[in-house]
Parts: sequence; C-alpha cells; structure tokens
Amino acid sequence: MTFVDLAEPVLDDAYRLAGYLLGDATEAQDAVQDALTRSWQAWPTLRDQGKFEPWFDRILVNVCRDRLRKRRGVRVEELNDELTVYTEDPFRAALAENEVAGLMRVLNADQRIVVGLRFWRDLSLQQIADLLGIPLGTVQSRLHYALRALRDEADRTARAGGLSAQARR
Amino acid sequence: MNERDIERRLRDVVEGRRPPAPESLHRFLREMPESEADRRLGPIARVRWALARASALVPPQPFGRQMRLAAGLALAVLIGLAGGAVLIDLRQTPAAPVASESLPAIATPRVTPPRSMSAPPSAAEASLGLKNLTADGLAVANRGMALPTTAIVTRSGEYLGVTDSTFGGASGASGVVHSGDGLFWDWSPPTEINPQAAILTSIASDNLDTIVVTGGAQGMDGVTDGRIWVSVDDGATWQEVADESAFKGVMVQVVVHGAGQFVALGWNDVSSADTLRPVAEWQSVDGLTWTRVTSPIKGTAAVIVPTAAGFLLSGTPLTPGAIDEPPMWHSPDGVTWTRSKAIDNTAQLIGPLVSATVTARSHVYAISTSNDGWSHTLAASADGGLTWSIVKPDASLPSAASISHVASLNSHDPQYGDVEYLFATLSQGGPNVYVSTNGGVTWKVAQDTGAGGPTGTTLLELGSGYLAGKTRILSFGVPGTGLGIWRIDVPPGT
Repeated sequence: MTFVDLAEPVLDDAYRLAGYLLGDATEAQDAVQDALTRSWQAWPTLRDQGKFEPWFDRILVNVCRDRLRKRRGVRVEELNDELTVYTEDPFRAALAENEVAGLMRVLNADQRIVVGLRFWRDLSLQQIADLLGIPLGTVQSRLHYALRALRDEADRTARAGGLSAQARR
Repeated sequence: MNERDIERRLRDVVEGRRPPAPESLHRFLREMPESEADRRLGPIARVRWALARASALVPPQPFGRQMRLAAGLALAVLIGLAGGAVLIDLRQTPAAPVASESLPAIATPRVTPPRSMSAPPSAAEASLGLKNLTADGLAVANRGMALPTTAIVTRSGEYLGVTDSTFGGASGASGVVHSGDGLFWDWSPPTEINPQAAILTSIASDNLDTIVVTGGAQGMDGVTDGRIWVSVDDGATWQEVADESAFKGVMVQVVVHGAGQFVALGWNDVSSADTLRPVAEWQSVDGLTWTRVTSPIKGTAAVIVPTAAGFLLSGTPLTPGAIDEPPMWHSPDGVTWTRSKAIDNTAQLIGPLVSATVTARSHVYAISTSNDGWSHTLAASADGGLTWSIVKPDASLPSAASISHVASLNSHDPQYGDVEYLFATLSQGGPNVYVSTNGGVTWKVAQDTGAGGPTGTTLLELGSGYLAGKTRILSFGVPGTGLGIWRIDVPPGT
C-alpha cells in the first residue's frame, strides 16, 4: 500500500484529535500537515504497515505537544467576545461550551494529551501507554493528577463565582 | 464537583461532534510525492515541493500561513546554503517578549555537598520538615514565574535552571531561569539563547566557571537538531557551540559533569523508529568542543549521573547482557563503558533506571522499572554503580513499587552525627514524600511545617528536579497541580 492509502483513512480521526488537543481548527490543520510531512519522511522506517495508525498518532501527538509547549511563550490577548466567532471553529466551540474543558489551561502539555486521548479519543490507559511509549503507571498518574487539577480548578472557580456574587449583593 | 463529574463532562465535549478533516487536508495528502526519489529531495527541490503544496492549500489569506510556510522554507534553505546556523520557523507567530519579573536577589552561600563522610550510616530518626516557600505568603507557582526542571548553583552562588514543557509559570516557556536564592525564580533567559526557537532540556556546571545548556530546535524540514550553549564566565555571557553538524538530527536531552568533563546524551522521540536507534553521546572537556562517542544504549530515554568513579549510565541495552547484568554501565571517562553486575540473582528485577542519586558516601540509589514494565524497584550500589542489589523497604513505605524519584542529602545531625538522608517521592496520592536514614529499608513521612503540606498535594513531579545542598533540597512542582517549590530543611549542619 502507498503512504496515501494508509494515511487517508486515519485523517479524520487525526484532525479531530489535533483539534481537541489544540483547541483550534486552523492549528489542528497545520499540526496534521506537519505530522503527515514527518511521517511521510520517516515512512520507510515503518516495518509493519499494519501499525500505521498508532505510529502516525504518536507522531501527531508529538507535533501537538511541541505546539502546546511553544504556546506557553506566547502572550495571549483576550479578544472581545463579540469579535470572537466560535461558531466557525468546531473545536473552539466545543471546548468553550464545556465548563470543565474550559479549565484545561491548568494542565501541562503531557497531562492535556493524556486527558485528550482518554476522553476524546476513548483509548484505554494501556493503549495510551503504548501510543506514547511510556509506562502504564505514568499514564495513570498523569491522568490522576490532571483530573485532580481540573477538580481543584473547578472548585476554585466555583468559589470565586460565589464570592463575586456575594460582593455584588 | 467530584472526579466522576469531571470525567463525564470531559466526555461530553466530543459527544455528537465529529468534524471531518477539511478537504484541503485530503488534498495535501493526495499530492504528497510517493517515490523514494521524491522522499529524498534535496533542499532546493524540497522548497519547490513546499511552494507547490502551499499554493494548493486552503484559500490564501493576506500574509497567511501558507505564504509564511513557503517563505520560511525558502529562507531556511537560503540560510542553510549560506552556512547559517538557524532554521527560522515563520509559521509560528513570533512570541511577544515575556516580561521579566525582577526580584531582589538574596545572596546565598554556595552550598556543596560534602564529598566524604567518616561516620557510618546512622539509624537516626530524621526530624525533617517540608516547608513551602512562601516567604511573602504567596505560593511560588502562582507568581507566574517559570520554574526549573534542572538547576545548578553558579560559582557566584546564584541559581540557574532550565524549564521545559512540564514546568513553568503563566509566563513560562522553554528557556533559562534565574534565582538569587533558589526560592524565587525570574524569567531572564540570556539573550544569546532564544527560547522561542529552541526547547532547552538540561543544564550542568563544572563547578568552576563553565556552564553548559542543552536542547534542540526543529527546523522546517521537520528534523530536530541538537543545540548546546556554553558560558565560560559563570553565566555572564553565552555562546552557541559552533559545530552544529555534531548535533545534526538529534535533540540533546541531558548533560552532566563529572570526572573533569561534560557528557551529554541525545535522542528523539518522534517515531517508533527512534526506539531502535542508539542514544547519541558526546563528550567535552571544556564545553566548547564536543566529540561524538558511542553509547551502549538505544531508545528514547536514559539516566546518567556522575559518580565518584566517573559516570553511571542506564537505558535500554544495544545488545543483551549476561544473566547477571542489569541495564547499567559505569565509566571512568564517559567514553569506555563497562556493564554493571547485579548480586543475589537480582539482575532480572532491575530494568532501565528512571531516577538515580549518588550520596556523599558514593552510595548510589536508583529507581528502576521492573519486569511488569511500570512498577518500580529500589536498587542500591555501595561501590559507585559497579555492583547492584535490590532494596526491599519494609511496611513503613506504603508502596515501594510507586517510588517515582529518589534524592539524597548528607547532613550533620546534632544528636546522631553525620546522617545520609534518602528521599523518595511516590506517584500515589496521600503523603508522598518519604525519608529514610538507613539506606531505604525503613521510611517515614517528611513532616510538614508549612501551610497545606505535602499530604494531599501533588508531589509526583517534584523530584524531577532538585538541588541538593548541605542543608536543603529544593524540589520543583507543577503549576496548576500543587504548590511549586518545597524546601526540605534538615537539622543544623556543621
């Protein structure tokens, strides 16, 4: 099979994974293109074509991780809500409408990736470990601490909301 | 909201939402060259190909990313042809400069662990306390500053560290961070190190004036090249090592100093093929001139620590060893590696290391992966890493299999004399910083003397970076998952 034959069937899933991890459709498209280019160059090293999808997913996740890391050095300017057209970006819209997903900012790149693979790609913990090439225990701990961080942040947000409501009264 | 609620709401994100890949992506894929010759395009041909792809992408926008991609590729090749050193990724919007937060530097005496201890190991009960470092009442991680993954003490008594993706405050990014006292860190990367173009991974000092920072940067060709920066004046000025070809195609992941030289290791983790490639190794006496040497390991992970006799290295072996040989090597110079031995038929229980510490008495304690692939085993060596045996903690440590990191510290206890402290962080909830004074057999929870305390906080990643001195260990945490820096105070030293 050619590279295109192998990559075409996984493209939709790859795009969705990148989209939810990065929270941006345009960036997801760039990430998938990067991953396609990298995998295309490295394709001759893939011994078992039957393992193309996890191999490609691993490359894609690494691309997303790099992008999440680089993002931390970029100052994010908040846009006026009226100017932000979420409806044109399905990933932004999905994440913005979900109160927990909106707290993902507290997670580091590795935690975000594990959360994404678990809940948005519906992989088992063992599948995540295999995909990322890390021990199962590391996956478990990353997920555990990510969920705890989200819970804590949700509690903090709720408390802050309650305090501001009291102040308004 | 409990964690089940969190899980349920996370799953809701994708419920009924399955946006397909846009047609432009399918077109990008279909137009990729298939032949082997195309795959091995030279730089000029690759630019032509990239330009052609850029024109085939989604509707062009003024100064859109497609044009930037093409321009970036072309510029990168021009720079490359001109012998330039940097590949510029114009697809990334240049980051706004991160405001440096200057804090008053508190002069701290240079702390150096004692290199020899005459007293035998003490069975003293350690009366240690963990203090969160909130001198002004603010948690360090909430100050928006970058926290280091690894750090050194400079000759002038200040601290320099590097950040990576795991750590860093709100304004953090991969780069060099600085502290006057080890408690409060400001984001002040030397201008010679561009944190936007590179990911920094490790820092080491020769305890004199030379400091080496390692990392890598990905070019437009998708290939990550290693980078090394050197300061020969205790961090005042920096220069990048000129011989880029030495680090071509592999990120430099870790550097240590011992036996009068620097040793750096490098690997990539882009594809499954990387797990089969040898781990790259370089050696340098002055930090400026690096020589590629052969490592005995392969894959995408390694642990290396300096010992009194040279270096200890661990990773996945290139070639299988004998039945009594765990995946560990020792070397007097970082060049010639000798496989270590395990005693008591325990070699099969010792896998590649995930963490190691060398005490002032040259005892080595290490956490290895075990046979089941993810639980951990505590191993120890009394001869600097030549021979190894398993340590079996008693019931005072709730789960030896979940030790994620070890660190050590020597100090003089007024009641018990010189004490060798061994710290372990556990990857499970509950109390997760433990200390042992008898070589890892019995443990007790490090006492909390600060607000919040280690109980219930996230200390899993704390051990990923630490500074060990005569009187304290500083550990670095993950912003958003717990407090940032904890100090472990020990009894007054001599």
